[in-house]
Amino acid sequence: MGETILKLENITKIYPNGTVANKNINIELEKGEIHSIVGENGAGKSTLMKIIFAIEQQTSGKIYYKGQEVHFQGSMDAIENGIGMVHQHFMLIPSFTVAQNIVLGSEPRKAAFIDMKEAVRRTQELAHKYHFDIDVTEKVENLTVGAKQKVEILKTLYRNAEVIILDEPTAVLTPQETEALFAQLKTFKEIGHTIVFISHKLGEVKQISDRVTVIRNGETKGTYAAADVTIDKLTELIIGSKLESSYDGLKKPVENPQLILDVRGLSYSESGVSKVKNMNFSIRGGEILGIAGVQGNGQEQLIRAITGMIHFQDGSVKLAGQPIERLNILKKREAGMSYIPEDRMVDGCAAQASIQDNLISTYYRSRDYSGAVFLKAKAIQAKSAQLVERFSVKTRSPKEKVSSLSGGNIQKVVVAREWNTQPKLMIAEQPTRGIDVGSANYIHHQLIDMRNNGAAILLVSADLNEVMMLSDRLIVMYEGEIAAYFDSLHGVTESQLGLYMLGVEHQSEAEIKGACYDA
Amino acid sequence: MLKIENRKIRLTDDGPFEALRILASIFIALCATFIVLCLVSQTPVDDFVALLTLPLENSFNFGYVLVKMVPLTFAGLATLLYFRTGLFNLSTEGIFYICGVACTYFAVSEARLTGNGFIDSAICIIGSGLAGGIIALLPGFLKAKFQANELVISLMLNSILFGIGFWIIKNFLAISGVTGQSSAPFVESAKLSIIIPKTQVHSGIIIMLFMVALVYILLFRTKLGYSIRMTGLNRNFAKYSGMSAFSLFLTVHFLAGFLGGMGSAVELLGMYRSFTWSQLPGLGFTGALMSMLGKDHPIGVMVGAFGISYLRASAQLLANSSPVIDIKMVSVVEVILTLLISSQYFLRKWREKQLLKEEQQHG
Amino acid sequence: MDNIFASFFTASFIALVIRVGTPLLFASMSAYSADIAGIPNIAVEGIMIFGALFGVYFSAISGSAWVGLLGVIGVGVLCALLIAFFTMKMRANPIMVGIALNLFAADFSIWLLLVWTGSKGTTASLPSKVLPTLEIPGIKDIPVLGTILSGHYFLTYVCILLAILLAILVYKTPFGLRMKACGLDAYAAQSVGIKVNRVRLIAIIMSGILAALGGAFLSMGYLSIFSNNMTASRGWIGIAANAVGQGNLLVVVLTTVVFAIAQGVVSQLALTALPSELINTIPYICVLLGLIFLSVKEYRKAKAR
Repeated sequence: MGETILKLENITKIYPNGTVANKNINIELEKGEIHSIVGENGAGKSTLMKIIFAIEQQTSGKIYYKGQEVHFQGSMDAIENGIGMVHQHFMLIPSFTVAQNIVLGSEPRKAAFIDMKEAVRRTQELAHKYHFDIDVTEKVENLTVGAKQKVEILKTLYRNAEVIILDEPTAVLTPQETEALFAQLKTFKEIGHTIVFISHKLGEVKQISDRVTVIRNGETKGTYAAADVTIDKLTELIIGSKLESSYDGLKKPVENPQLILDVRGLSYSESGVSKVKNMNFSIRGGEILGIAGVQGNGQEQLIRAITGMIHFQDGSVKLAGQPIERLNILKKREAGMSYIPEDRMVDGCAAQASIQDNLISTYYRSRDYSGAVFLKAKAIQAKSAQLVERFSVKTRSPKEKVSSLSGGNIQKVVVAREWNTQPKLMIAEQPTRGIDVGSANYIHHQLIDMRNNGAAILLVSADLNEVMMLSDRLIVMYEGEIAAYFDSLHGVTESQLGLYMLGVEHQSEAEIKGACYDA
Repeated sequence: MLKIENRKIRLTDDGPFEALRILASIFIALCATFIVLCLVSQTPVDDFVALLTLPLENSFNFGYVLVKMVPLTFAGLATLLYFRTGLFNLSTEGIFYICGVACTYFAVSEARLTGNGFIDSAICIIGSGLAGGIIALLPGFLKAKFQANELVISLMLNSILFGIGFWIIKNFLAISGVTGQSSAPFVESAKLSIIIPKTQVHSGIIIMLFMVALVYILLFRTKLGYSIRMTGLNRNFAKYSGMSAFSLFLTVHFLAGFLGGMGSAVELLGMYRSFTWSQLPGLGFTGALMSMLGKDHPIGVMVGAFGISYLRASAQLLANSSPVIDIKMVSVVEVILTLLISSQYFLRKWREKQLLKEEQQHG
Repeated sequence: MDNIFASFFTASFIALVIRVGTPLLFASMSAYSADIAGIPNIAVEGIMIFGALFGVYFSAISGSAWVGLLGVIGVGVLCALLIAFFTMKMRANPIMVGIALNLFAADFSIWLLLVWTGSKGTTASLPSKVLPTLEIPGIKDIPVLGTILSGHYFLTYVCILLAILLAILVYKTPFGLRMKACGLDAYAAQSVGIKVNRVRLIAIIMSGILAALGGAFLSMGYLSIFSNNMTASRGWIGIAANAVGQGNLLVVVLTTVVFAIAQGVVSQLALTALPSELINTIPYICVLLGLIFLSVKEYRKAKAR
């Protein structure tokens, strides 16, 4: 193919805590190709991208760009040389307008002042040129996720990027939005842009890329032409073993299931904006109810309302017959609720505390682990050792800080803690986001195990594949409402769900009513 | 991600590395002190040696170090509770002042005391502690209920408490008929007794040791301590786990106020004949430093308080004979230690290099 | 009592508010300019102390108030560099750094006082200079307006000018947009190539200079000496005003004006027989109430959601 535009030679990155994120990485990018970089989460992809984009400096190794060795001192150097990056977490400032976000850092000026009129004109022109339908005077906080991503791409184009790095761009998109993005990427490729596509969704990778480089444990495991390599082969390279594609075989029917969670008329609004509208659904023991939907359609608020992290305005929530909507978080947990939160680092753990301290936070008050005043150190030690063992958390000792663990192991700590109380209701929000396939697989097994033992599980995930694999029943949420309900996943396809997720279709009230069991 | 597995203890491990950082910080701080002395003193070497050795010369001097560390430790323990809970509250300064006034209220009047030394001291100390606890509930409530900015509020409160306290001393607790800035003398039975002859070491140091142990147990052995630590490390996590920030914040404020109040009373009853503070004593702020130096650990706070008191006592003893050495000079050591120890990246490059070397050696 | 209240509605009271408000406005602008770039400067109080002390010192050894002023700016920059180094390069907690510097300034300034003058009280024995007061020709003879606007200290006019320049910088220039971006989301700013550390460095240097000038106003205008504890928490009042303003410069300035009026009232009441210890707490009580008011408002807003 064409000439090499970017070449990484023996890149090694060691973090101060001793973590080796990249080890002798070698990659060559050719001009005008779509080059995917795949690997488990935590394999070192994001670190590598940060090094290319000069957010982090490599510990050793060389980078060649257009034939010259380069030492970018910061992102500015990378940008000036024509490298653009669309980050996994959007790098947008919500209170700024689209135009302000796009020009930020390279603002048009009039004398010493910023020329906002020119900024609006130029960004509007750019959006037209690439057929992005977007109002550049709108504040970014009012945009949808898909539109925000367009703003991110426009940012790189505004800076004349020749190499565009997209870090897990499809993680937050619907299948339809993903298709649109891919079409866009192909036109970029045709006009000579080089695209680096980072993902762990192998189907997408195979569909969009020219070549694929696999990274495992911080090392490159080879570069392949996408047309010549099968998904099975890639999977093997990434994790070294084959993945289960369905858990149906593991699920056992539960006898005489009880109604565990019953949500009626739940509504929640934030600053006058309605986020959750009159939600009705219920779950029985021994069943996993999945909630699918594009992020930002009220799933997060729904979960936070049920778990008591926020106060909602209307509606009732019953846990095994007991009304819990007025109870505080502690009382809800005592009533039998467990909760794996969306973001493990924000809500799910105290990173600077020991694994042991993190393993008991939700039940240390129980008689087994404390008296009236004092903690029972021995019982706590024994329990945490047991949990670390059972959930195979990779650590030297339960006294180590949680921050010393990998993402997957941190998530295992969270799941182990929530599992330990043997809850009637387990609320699992994005239970495997951003963790390695091995840990994800393990956590899926635990959830199914709990289900088989009679727990009711409410699963929310942005990963459509995950919801479809695990759920017995499924709700699709769109703009704070139930857009569709399926009492079985058999024969339901991703693109079918996509139509509901995007609001193109909406089931009738009678169909949606099925989400509730009659009391 | 790869993690280097090696059980041997190395300087780059968390514990030893932290110790190394502290030693390096102390070394740099002392070097800076020497440089400052060189700039202003005719005999810098002698002065420096004197500064480092004077407290060891006799038991009085060493005793002076010990009594100096008592209020610093108390203030450090109080601030430590705030910091551990994730609260940047500096009200210990004002609490020290107003509780000194509260202590004086009991200590100047025989009518409010029994005449028994033990009981009278206890009345003053506990009364002062309760006053501190109750006053601290005000910023505590504002924080717990409204998430008010506790740092600025606590500083404003310091100035307000000082104004009110000084006004009370002048108008209600001074010797009648005398318009001075100090209170009437304390009743003898309220004062703390000297426990080591020919020194100033008073029984307050025993109370201090007791409180250090108590705070240690509180933090690491009790349910309350656990919720303090978890809330301080990640407030969202604590809420998510079902801990109530509201009652915790109130409890912590009360306890910290109580410790500050106790410290103030112990200092006054051990070292003073009457209340003579015509300015904020500065002990509360230094408490914040102690908490930082001690890494928010009660024993660390005590060790830090000893170190700083050592230099402060030494400087104060030298102040009579030297025109340039003064207790305020120790602020050089204090600031450097605080800055370096709170710097996450101090010596990080060195550590990274060592790790890289090891990585290369092990392949 | 009546004539005390009457004295609050005179031109000379407004002039007094401008005078006592100057160091407060310097302090709030100092807190604002650092905070908006995402690097809170808690050391405003400490830098003010150093500004006040070194202004006196440099003017005394050079014999010129202007050299003294240059020295003050230098000290402000130096303190700012120290904060920048420890918070940005060494990743120390900015609040800890601020607390440490404040304590250091309070103690070390007294020690320097001792070394320079042999006493810990004031610099009265140093032959320090003050910056001039400015009479504005034309305006000074207009009856009420003249009293209000003319005859203030040099640094008061500088302060007002800097406030206008700061507003233009923040709201009208690319650098202002970048400052706000750094404050709102440093990663986003970095991702478009903004050198976050450089923007913050400049912001903190501005903050340092503003705080030091506030200190210099106290010892080289308002008074002509440095004395122990002369800043009297003015730096903290500035930080409080900035907290109330929540990123909006106009609100910060208006809040400062309210605090300045409280301070002016204190100056008037100090002439009466009311107990001075209690009178002196009025500005702090105002700030406290202001913060409580803000928090309750925020709380209500959050609850209404």
